[in-house]
Amino acid sequence: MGGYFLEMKSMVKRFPGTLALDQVAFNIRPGETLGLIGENGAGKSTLVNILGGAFSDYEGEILVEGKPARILTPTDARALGIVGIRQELSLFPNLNVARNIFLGNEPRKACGLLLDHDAMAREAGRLLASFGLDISPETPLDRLTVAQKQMVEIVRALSYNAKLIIMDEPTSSLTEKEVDILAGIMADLKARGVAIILITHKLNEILRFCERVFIFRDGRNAGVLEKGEFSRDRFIEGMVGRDLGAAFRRTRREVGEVLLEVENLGDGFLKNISFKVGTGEILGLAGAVGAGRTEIMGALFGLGKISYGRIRLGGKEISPPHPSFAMRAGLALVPEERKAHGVIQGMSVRDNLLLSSLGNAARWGFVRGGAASGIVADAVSALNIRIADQHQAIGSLSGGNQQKAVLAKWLAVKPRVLLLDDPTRGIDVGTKREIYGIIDRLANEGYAIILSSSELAEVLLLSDRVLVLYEGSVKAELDADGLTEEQVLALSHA
Amino acid sequence: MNGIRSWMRKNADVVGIILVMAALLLLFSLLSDSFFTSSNLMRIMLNVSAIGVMALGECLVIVIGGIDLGVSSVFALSGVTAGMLISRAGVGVPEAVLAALAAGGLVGAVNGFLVLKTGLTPFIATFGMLSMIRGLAYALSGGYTISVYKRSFTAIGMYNVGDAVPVPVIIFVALAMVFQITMKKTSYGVRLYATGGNPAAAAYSGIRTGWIKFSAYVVCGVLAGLAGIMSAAKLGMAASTAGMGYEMDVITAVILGGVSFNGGVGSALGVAVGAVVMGIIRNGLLIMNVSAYYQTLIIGLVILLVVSLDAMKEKGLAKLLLTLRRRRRREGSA
Repeated sequence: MGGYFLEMKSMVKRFPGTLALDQVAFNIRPGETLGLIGENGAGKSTLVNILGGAFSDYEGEILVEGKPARILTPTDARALGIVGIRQELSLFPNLNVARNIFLGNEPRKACGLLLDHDAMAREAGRLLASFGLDISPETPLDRLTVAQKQMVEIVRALSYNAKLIIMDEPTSSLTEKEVDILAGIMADLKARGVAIILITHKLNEILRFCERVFIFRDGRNAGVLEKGEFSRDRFIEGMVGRDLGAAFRRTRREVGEVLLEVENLGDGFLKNISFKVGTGEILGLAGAVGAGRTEIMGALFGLGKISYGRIRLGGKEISPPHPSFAMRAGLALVPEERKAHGVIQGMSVRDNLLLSSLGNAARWGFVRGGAASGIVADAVSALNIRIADQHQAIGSLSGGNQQKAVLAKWLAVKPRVLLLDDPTRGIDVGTKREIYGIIDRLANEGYAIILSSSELAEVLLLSDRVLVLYEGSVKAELDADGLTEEQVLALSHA
Repeated sequence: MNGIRSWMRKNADVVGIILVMAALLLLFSLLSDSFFTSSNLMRIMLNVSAIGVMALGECLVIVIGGIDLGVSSVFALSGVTAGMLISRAGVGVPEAVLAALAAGGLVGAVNGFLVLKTGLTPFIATFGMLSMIRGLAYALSGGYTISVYKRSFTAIGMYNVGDAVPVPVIIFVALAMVFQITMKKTSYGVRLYATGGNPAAAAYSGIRTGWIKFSAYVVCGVLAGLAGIMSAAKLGMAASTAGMGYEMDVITAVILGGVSFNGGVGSALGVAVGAVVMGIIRNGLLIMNVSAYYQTLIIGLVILLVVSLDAMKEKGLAKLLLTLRRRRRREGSA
């Protein structure tokens, strides 16, 4: 086999509290279509972000066409011919197709002073036609379908001579037919000698498109398979195997009566979701990124519009139009995005903790200092939140302590159902264990808990039952006893 | 001593502007004998009271992450409303005043509606209202100045309580205190700062952020209306051209008071002091016979100075926190 277009050796990337990449090796040949798979958080995105020039503080060696290269900015990446086609597309909806394709790279006339719109349209038309795409260069971008936009992005990548295209879940919003068109384009790219990195959680696509696959696990290499060695079982075997529970065992408990009942729930994305959760039960939501874990919690908590279906809490039907209604009905949500939705960075620990229970802390609208301090002190000691002073800004706490504060904020309202969306995201291992203990204890105290996590092992570790989601629907409902990651992955990765 | 220190820490945002005020008082006292007299200080307070009252309302709106550019037009509309009801329609003073305040509140409600329901940015929505409401004031009054002689009305602007403190000063100081307490001590205040600091997180915490924002616009409108009444009462007349350009003074006071335009940061006390600082500069320069042109220039200079000091302080603080955290981590790992 010939030389590599790109070679990466001993790649290390740290984030506060975690080692995202640990001595990772990676390579790809010219014209090769290569799969990159792993569980959420295995390091796939970190690796391709380095290639795209998103980070400047990584360690390791990168060789492009045999020569050492340093990729510190997106401009560096583009100069080397490396282009990413992102999940959230990076096109400009207000410009037409031709302008988008040549953005920052426009043909010019009049000594470079004016854009040459004619040449641009001509050239864009030629490129689009060469892929057999029936899109007019003059169409405003926002008239195109998601699939067409993706095609435009690929064509744009070629317009600046891309030699390596990174596709991150490119088919997540495509129809079957559009996937076929994409397949044609990928074959075309291959014929032109362009290398492709395909990140996907659909293992069928690896089988269909790729010649080789890299498997990552916990920020490390977990194997490279050649086409001849491909099988779904071998993929899954490589992806699993993280050990979170070394020092933690879930309590065996009796599940009480059904508290929350969801019947045939759906919105634009979710389809016919039904499940029940009892008091003292932890229901785990498993599924790849975008499978609908966060959406289910949002629908229950009044964050999205529900188009059909029913939610019953304690036998009473609820349909919260806003989180404040969900809160009064007895629901609480620890959101996935702690910084954006969980805490108010500039406010004190005390005010953040009181946000949802102001009614209890105040009389005649005035926050009573004593009552407030009491609520805060109770929360701090119950969840062992490490603070120096109630008045310090919450932004100055570690991620783990901030997360405990978000949970404490809700416990102060005395809810009945806890929705925990990836509650240990970006938290160091020690605090993770502590939070597992807290979640388990809360279930023993009789809360009904719905738990989602980007780490499958965590869901299996804590849950009594597991709901496996795939593209907005429930794929399976399983008893967590004896359930293995392999079994779940086989369902969540079609 | 300890009390002062803890107060300063909790109100770090206003310490700066209070020091600026003290420095200016000292400076002008040294430069002129006629500055630091009780009658002159009271004159300063009287002169800033209307702007100060408007700035308190503006402070709420900016703390929730919005802005109201239309306050100066509401100022005129409310004066004209009260003046016409009293002088032309013969309505009683209390009813007329209430009607004028309600007009202000209504404008605020429209602002809130525009911002919350049409998706217009607060800047654009209230910029449009600035012009519309001024036009409404013109149309209502037909462009004429309306004289109001009723003693019970003019007393709002002219009566001196105990022969010493004018009513507008009392209104301004009392409102500043009420706002400071509301913002810092009530659950509404916590919700207000939360909504401004991170609207998404506030909504995720079960706060009805829409209503909080709406209320801020309404209160701002009512206070702009009150300021218009105070001014019309002081002058004994209401004009549709009154208060032209006052939104700049109001926003200046808010900026000087340390309110962040990103929302979530600021205090009524700071804004009140900010308004007074502006009055001190105007008055001091006047006493020293500096021309009005230079007054405007100097006020601009002070804004930039105070704001950049604030920014530097924040940057310095952030740096300090970072080094402290690094040190702690290093010690932790060692």
